[in-house]
Amino acid sequence: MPAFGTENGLQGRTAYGRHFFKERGLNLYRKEITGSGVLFLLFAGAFWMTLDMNAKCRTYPQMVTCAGMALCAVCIARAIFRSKREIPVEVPGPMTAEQIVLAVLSLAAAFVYILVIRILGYVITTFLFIAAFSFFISRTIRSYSSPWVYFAVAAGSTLVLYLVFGRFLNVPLPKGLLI
Amino acid sequence: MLSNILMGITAIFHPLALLTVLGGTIFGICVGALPGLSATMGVAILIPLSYGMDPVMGLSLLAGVYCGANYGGSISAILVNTPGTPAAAATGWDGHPMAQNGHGKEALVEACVASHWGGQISSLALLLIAPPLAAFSLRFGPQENFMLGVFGLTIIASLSGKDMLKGIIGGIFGLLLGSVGMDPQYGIARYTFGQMGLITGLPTVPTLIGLYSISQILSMVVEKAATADIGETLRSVNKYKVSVRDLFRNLKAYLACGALGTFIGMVPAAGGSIAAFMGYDLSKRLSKTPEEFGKGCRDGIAGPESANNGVVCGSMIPMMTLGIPGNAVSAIMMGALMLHGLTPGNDLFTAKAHITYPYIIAYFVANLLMLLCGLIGAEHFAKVNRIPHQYLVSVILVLTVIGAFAVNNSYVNVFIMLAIGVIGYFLRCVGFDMSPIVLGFILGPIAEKGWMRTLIINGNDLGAAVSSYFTRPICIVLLAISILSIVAPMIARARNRKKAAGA
Repeated sequence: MPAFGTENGLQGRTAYGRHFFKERGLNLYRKEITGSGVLFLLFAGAFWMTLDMNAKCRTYPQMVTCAGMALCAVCIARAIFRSKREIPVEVPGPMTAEQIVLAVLSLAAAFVYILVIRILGYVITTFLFIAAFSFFISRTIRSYSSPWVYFAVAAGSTLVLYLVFGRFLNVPLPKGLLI
Repeated sequence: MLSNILMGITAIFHPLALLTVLGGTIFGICVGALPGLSATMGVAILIPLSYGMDPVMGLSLLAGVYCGANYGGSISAILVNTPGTPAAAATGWDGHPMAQNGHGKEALVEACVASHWGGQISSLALLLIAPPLAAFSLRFGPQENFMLGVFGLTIIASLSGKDMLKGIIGGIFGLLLGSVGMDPQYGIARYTFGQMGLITGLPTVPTLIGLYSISQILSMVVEKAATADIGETLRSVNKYKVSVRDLFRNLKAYLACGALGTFIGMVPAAGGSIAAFMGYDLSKRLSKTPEEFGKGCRDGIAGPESANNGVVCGSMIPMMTLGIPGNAVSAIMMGALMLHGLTPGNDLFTAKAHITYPYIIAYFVANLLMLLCGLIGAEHFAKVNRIPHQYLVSVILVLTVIGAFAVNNSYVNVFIMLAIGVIGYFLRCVGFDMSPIVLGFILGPIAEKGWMRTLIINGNDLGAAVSSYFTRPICIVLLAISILSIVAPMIARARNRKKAAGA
């Protein structure tokens, strides 16, 4: 891999800039095109939904979605134009497979936490979640602590959050099967 | 006004209120000192907590967090040359060399004192300028409100960093998020998918938490780095006895740069970073030893720190009076005010004065407490960087989930927060900034309401509605400023490109 910021005299200025020099042509703008493309589809879907709306209230969302689609199209066209001229782009580099897995697993963990908290209640779910999720993150960064530390941090955090939200603010935290 | 100020002082000097501001300030300093976290995120995750409290207490807590986080960024900038917040970058230019030369404690003291003075100057400006400006806003009709919304949206051009097109697309996406729920004029549901939870629109707090916190947490997990290694630097912090003289050492620079920061804060989208860089330049001009700048001199810390803390209350002035949030934190603060039933404008300083004035006084108190905390042990706050990454991420994730749930004890809010967080993370990954989205989300409904009312006043005649804008002087001025706020950044970018090409 060429040294960061040296190839062709181009300067990668973002924190992720080192990935920039790996790619050429349309690949270079893959993220920009993907992002704008997804947003274009989102705006198009939202515009399509306005067709079923009451005529009195659809003008504004139609204006917004049309403007969004037009600008996304401009963004895609700009990316294609720039890719042909190899103009540097400042978007984060591509995520590795490991990073995608990490992001998906973290979201899945949060999702499971929300589902389980309704069954097991706040105390048990939060305690287990913090201990398990901390251990999971420890594995990814290869920085392990003693198992007791995970449980102690989980117990302490659960207690503090319970006192703040449950007692001080009187938020009815979910009660489960046990507590 | 004097009676309101006295009432504000009385309310804030209640022991519980003082304790709340202190708690917020300490939390803010810790958040600011962590390079992975921002003031915006700190305020966003504490909004649900503030919602459960009395409005005065809740808003004072947030005021403490905002002040503390803005100052806290300087701690890691000085000790590890990693600014905790973007606005603290200029502080590191002289702060870090001072720490390297064994004067870390003096640098921390200087940053703390300068932040305090900058904050106090801007709090004073908020107290004196905001009420008359809010009274002026009484002259605003639907046309002016629409133009204000448009002006706020044009700030996106400045907020969007290097890529204006992406910023504007982000802003439009924010407008789309803001159009979910009943339309503001006829009450007809849009984009609700039959869900009752969406009838009143996307809930402000879970949406903001999702955009800022969830996407930030995912970034922290994926990039595997949130804290900085401070072990070595902490050992190099010298023993330095703080004296009264330290409080007034660079008074001229503190006051001048604080005033500059306040002014810049009032200009929508200018922000803390610009203020800090301009403050650095101004303090260099005011200094007797400008040649020492960059090598590790206290004057080089005084300017940027007082200027970037001047922005705090400066940015509150247009938000509280005209409803224009100039930066991401003030947009979130606006959401917090609305959550407590407070609408920006003259009402804040009349009907709701019993909440607003204590809130403003809380900024004075927060700055004072920040000074005390910083003088007592800024280096101890830096130790938050020792919190292992894995625990920090886990606890923040739980805090965001419980926070979103606590807003109205609804699981729907939590799922909305997660969904918005995923979208926010995706957009962040493909190079979109969150600030324009937040601005669009907050200002969209205001602009739409103004537009719809203008249409109705003019008998649904589009031509008459448009021409009515040009018969009102305030609208014309706002239109001119809006055009300027779009064109000025474009010119600045073109100039920068020219400069870069010439270099």
